[in-house]
Amino acid sequence: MPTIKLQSSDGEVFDTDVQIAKCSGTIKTMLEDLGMDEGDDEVVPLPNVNSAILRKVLQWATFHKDDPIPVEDDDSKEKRTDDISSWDADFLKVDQGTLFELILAANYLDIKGLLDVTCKTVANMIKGKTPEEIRKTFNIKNDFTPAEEEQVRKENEWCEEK
Amino acid sequence: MGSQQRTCPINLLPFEVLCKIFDQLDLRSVKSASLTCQRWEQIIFSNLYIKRFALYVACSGRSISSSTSTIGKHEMKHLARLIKASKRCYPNLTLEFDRRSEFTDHAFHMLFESLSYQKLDHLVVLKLVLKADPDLMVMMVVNAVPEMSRLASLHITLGCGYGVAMSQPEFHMDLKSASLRHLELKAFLPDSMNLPSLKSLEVSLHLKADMIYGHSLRQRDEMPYSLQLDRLEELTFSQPPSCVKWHPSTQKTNRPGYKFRFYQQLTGLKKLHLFENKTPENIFLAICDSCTCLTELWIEGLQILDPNAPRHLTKLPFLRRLTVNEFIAPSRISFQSAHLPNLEHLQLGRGTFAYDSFRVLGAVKSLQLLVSAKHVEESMRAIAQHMHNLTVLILNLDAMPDCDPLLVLQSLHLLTTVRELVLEGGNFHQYTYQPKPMPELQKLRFRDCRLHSRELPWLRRMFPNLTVLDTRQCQFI
Repeated sequence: MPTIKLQSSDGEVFDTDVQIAKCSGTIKTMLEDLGMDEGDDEVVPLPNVNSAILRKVLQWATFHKDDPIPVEDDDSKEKRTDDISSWDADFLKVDQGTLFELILAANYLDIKGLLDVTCKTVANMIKGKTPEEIRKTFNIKNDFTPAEEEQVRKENEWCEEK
Repeated sequence: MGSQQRTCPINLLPFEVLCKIFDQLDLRSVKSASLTCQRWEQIIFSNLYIKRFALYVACSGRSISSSTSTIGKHEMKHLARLIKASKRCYPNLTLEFDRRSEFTDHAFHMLFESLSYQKLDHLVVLKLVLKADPDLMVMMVVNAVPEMSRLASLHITLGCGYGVAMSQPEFHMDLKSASLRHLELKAFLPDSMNLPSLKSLEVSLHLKADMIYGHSLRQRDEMPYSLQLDRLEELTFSQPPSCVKWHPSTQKTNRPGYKFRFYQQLTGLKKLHLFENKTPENIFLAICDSCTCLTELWIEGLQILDPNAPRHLTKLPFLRRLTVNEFIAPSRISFQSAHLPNLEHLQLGRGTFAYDSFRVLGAVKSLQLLVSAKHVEESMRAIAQHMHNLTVLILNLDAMPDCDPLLVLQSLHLLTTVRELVLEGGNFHQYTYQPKPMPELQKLRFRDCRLHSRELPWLRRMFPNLTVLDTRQCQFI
């Protein structure tokens, strides 16, 4: 099976199955644009992803390599966050720092499936909570003055879904 | 921000990723999220993300209310102040004003004033529902429309269920917009319109003049037809259901010249829906002659003297969808010598047809038919013989209330191409007589039928290969 070499920001090189690496839109485009041939010894540098995260990303991509290609969202997309598979749920039982780094990596590498499932995981941590509970969950500092907070609260009363 | 990020890793995420997370939240949760910190509030109500929301103000004579609170008359001032102070530029605005009172006029004025030029300029969709007597409110909106450079969709509904007589405006109302693409008018007609980008128009007017708000009521009949709309792609004309009873007495002298000319200009029209009671033959001809790009045509009632008039549909080569809910004709309607190579969806209501003329309907994939007791067998035979591409058949049995649907069931086995059958209305018994089976059928749906047993063993015998049997909208006896 043809492989390519991916280099993380801290210099570690990962020998990766081309098919798995290509689930990243960014790597796929890079390979096509640079005309890199499979079996070339060139190394693809990924300066925005460290080795710990890249290892996780590749683990995810390997498990999902046979997933059907996701169809583009149609208009009738429902907001569902309860459709996370149990493998993914287990995979994402990590500390918040790792979770957000995975999101950043999925965003940078353009891996739609991973980005979706990580964003859903974060959304589930927000859903149904009060502002104070959300702040506590993510250690967010309330930087509103009481008057500003009141203005937002009042304005929100007149806001509806389109 | 720097120290905030170190201790709060979620704020390492960039704008677009946070938007993706907020996308997954319901309205309540996203509102909670907007209250956590300034950055989140700014993202959620940024010009990029705010498209998801609408500013929705509902106001009745006594109180104004939003979904979350009901506040009194005095709060109106506060709302106007709140909107004035707000940085948010909603692209969607809905204003709903209820019963007439001094207060609503005043409230509306105050509210509309609070929307700055910049906020009006961000509007893309504006919905105005005035159940009160509109007075100056409509005027204010119509005058402000030219300033809204992004406005794409405007909806104006006047009157309580628009069955109410209204006082008439004293001013000339000219609706002008360079950007407007979709316009919906209910019980309201401006005196003139200048809408060069308009692609889709929906007009719903009461036949009784004083139930339409508009200055030029003398030309009420002609007004919608005097519009210059040569770029229009979609047009819907309808009347509210309550005005059906007015129909015979308010029908004015028939001067169809202006209507005729109106349809002649609509050469780019793709979808036309006429929910009016009667469309006369000459208008039908004008449509067929001029609107040659039509892909969809819905005529509620078509009155023709020439039973072969459907042949004129040949001039609409792109027609894919045709509905005529009632034919008013002296003899059997014939499709003979029509050429309809792209007609895939056909809905035929009341009317008697020369069924052998169905041979020109070979392209039809889905047919909805009102079955008449007299012609059941004849029509089924014609469908079986001529419509070889038919996969979906919807049979409405309302016209044969006293007649046993067995007549229909007996002929069904002829239709070997049909995969999905919908039966509407009718009273189905536990049949001892066994109609011939229809093994090709995969989906069977009953709508508003009376069925005589939950088990329905005869159904299983008659349709042995069903994958879907839908009886949700039925009454069981």
